[in-house]
Amino acid sequence: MPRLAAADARAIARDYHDIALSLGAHRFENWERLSSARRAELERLQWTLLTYSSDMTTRAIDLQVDDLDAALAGLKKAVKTLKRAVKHASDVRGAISAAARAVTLGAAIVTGNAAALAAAVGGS
Amino acid sequence: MRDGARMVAGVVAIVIISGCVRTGAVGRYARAAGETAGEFPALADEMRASCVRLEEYREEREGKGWFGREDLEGRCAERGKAVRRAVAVERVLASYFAALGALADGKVVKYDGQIDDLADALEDDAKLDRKKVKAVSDLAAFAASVATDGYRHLKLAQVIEQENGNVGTVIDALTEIVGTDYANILELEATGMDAFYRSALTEGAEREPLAAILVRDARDERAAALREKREALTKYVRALGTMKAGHQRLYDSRNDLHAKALAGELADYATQLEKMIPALREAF
Repeated sequence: MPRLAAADARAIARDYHDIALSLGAHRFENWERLSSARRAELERLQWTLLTYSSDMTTRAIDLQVDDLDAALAGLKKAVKTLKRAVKHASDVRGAISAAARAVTLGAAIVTGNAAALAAAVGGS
Repeated sequence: MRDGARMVAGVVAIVIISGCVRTGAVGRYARAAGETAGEFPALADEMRASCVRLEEYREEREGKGWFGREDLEGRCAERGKAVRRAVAVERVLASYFAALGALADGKVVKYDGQIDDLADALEDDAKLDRKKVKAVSDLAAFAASVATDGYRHLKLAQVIEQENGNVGTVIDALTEIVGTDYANILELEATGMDAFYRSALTEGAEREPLAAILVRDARDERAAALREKREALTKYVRALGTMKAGHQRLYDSRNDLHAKALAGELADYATQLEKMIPALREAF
């Protein structure tokens, strides 16, 4: 049997609901003319159809989620990539800070000319 | 002097090569999108609760022996299972936006402690005065910041490019579930509610007119509650559309995430979402 699509399940749910609605309208429009047994029968059918419609709507949600396997796998992978990138961004920043510190200190110590270094920085 | 100038030039070069990336707007949009998605579980639980209410109306009419709502929960177990799966989908989407926001917001991470150490070391080892030491250390910190921004920009652009299709697919699916399925669920409940109250009133209003008044009041209250849920549903669908449009805008500008125009548009999307969040919280 071919697999039901979410859109098909929705269409069936909608049809069941429309029939249930018509049955209800018919029952109330003809209330006085119907026997109590007929009214009860119509109401029972209406509730059954509403339940079928409700079940079919639940099925539509399930089918919609079924169709998302590939997209969800992609997004889960992206979350991992982003988390790794957040960590790596922090590492990079720490490494660059340390390197910049070493460069700054090295230059200052090698030249021993603090005033000149400061002047160059001030003019940048 | 030459070595000092070379060092400064090196630091400045890092600044220039890295480029300055404005990712704050991306972070704000991603946070708002994640928070909006986070309102879904309460809405999803309403899909299950509506099933229970419909069963309650049916049982009130058919009277097959039940005591309270808890007796009817089992009949809505399948609905509960389906909405739990939908919530799991939303969780993945919310995680994605949270991770996107975390990477975009990395710029606010502070390294003040390291910079202070650097300043002390410069003062002690190179005998620079504090004002000039600060100038050097500020520049070094800025270089570190923009170099990292360059890396973040690259990663953000890659992920946004790769996942735009998946984000669209998942948001479309949630839009169907909320905009179509949840709308149908509420309509079913409304039909069940009308069948229940109209039957009860038609059968007993003449015999018990005072009771009929109370029944009508109860029906009106429930009908108003359903209307509010429908309105909230419409807002959530609109919010999902805004989330999708924002990500599409990111995708369109993925190679120029620092563009001023993008920042402005993302801020608009974020503002729209931020305004919707309290209303959604109140509704569900």
